[in-house]
Amino acid sequence: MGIYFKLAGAICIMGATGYFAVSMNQTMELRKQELRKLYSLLIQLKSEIQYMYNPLPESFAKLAKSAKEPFSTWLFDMVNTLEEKEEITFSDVWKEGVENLHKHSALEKEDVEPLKELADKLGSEDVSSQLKAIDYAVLHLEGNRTVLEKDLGQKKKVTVTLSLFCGAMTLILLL
Amino acid sequence: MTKQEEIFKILSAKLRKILTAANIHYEWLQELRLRIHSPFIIIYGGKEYFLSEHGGLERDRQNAYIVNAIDLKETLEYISSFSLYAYEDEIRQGFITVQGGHRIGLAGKVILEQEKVKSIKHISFINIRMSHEVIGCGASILPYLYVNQQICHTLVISPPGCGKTTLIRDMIRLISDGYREYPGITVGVVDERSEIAACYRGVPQNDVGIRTDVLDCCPKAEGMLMMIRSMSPVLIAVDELGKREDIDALEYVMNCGCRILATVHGSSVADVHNKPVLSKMIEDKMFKRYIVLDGMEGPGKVRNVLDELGNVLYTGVM
Repeated sequence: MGIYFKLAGAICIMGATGYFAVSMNQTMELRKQELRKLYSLLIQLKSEIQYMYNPLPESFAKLAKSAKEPFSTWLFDMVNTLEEKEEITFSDVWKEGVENLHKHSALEKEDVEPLKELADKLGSEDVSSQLKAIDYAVLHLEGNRTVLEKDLGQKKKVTVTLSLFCGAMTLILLL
Repeated sequence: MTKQEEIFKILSAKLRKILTAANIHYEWLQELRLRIHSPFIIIYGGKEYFLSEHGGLERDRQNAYIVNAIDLKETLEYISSFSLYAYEDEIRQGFITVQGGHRIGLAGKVILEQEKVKSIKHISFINIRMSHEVIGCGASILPYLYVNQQICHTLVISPPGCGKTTLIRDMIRLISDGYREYPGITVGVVDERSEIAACYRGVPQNDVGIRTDVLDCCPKAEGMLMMIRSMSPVLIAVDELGKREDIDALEYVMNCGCRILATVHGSSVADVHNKPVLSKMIEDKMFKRYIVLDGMEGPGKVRNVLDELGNVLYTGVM
């Protein structure tokens, strides 16, 4: 009877570590996808500013309609707050929005930092300064994505190996 | 949307609170003036008042609320929908037109590029001028502008601030909609400074009639030619003629068979005749009617309507 419990315990431990590895890999994959989507959103925002001259709330609403989660909610929330016009500045709304995006996405701190820097540029600067600021943010995001893509395969392998190794070690210790 | 709602949409929360407490009649409100580190001033019922923090209308500046940088920044963000860049062309001219046709004058540090104004930075002075249409103000003189049911080329002459834009706007509305025995005709408005139709996102905020097409923020000379090519108007209306190219375009429009309704700064026909750009047109009797407004008798008062020979057809101010 005892052997069955031990076997079940071993399966649970290995399952848990395996699940942990898979979920870590999924998060990394999700981050890669979200970096790509964010990159595309910023490029769209750039053309809204450069060619359409639409005000930011209007541009955000337009982008939100075609964007997927979590970007859609992020943009819609900002539009709603901006339209309320209750003792707010764009800079504060943007910073708060970026913080929320960080919380509800797979993006890491280094990914949202260049977005935060846009807070004092968007809306208040002339078109060319804003475009330069967006280009700078896009460059950072693209850099992060390239590094991630380059290391992703290796990181995935390391995560799986380490997780399973930890599981095996735990088993040995328990047995 | 009421005038109060339109104004509240563009004011900072603090200034909104003060105006709410002031409990004023928004139809009598003419201007709001925000200057950094200076009292919050309104022009209300033709008089200037300082507004106190609790909304009191004060004559003494000691009790006035002092406008600060946050009020200005917040107000400017609301005016521009958080996007000053979207209004670069308007800012270059020194004003933005907002919903309701209210005109926001801006002043600050001017940025020059090749000796031309590129933009205004550090905007520290905001003047909100409430839009006011005077429906029907052009009705009394309109019949004098027609000959055989055809509208004549007309020039409105007025000193600054005497209501020429208000008058021309109402005349456009009447001509476009049709008035009494005069049927409505297609009118093209070239509104270089958004003063006539006061378009906000392409929608006229003032009533300019049902047969009126508006080219907003378009240079007059170019706009008049565009109108002829694209909208085939019977009459083209423009405000504040002044440049040589405006007059050249005007002549072209007249030769195309289109009628003209234009305004120019001046105090009399003789005064306008002295302007080099317009003298030839007056000598050639291109304009068939002159409407002269009177600055002495207050805004919007028509002194007289003259024909091309100088005969007085109508006298409004005795």
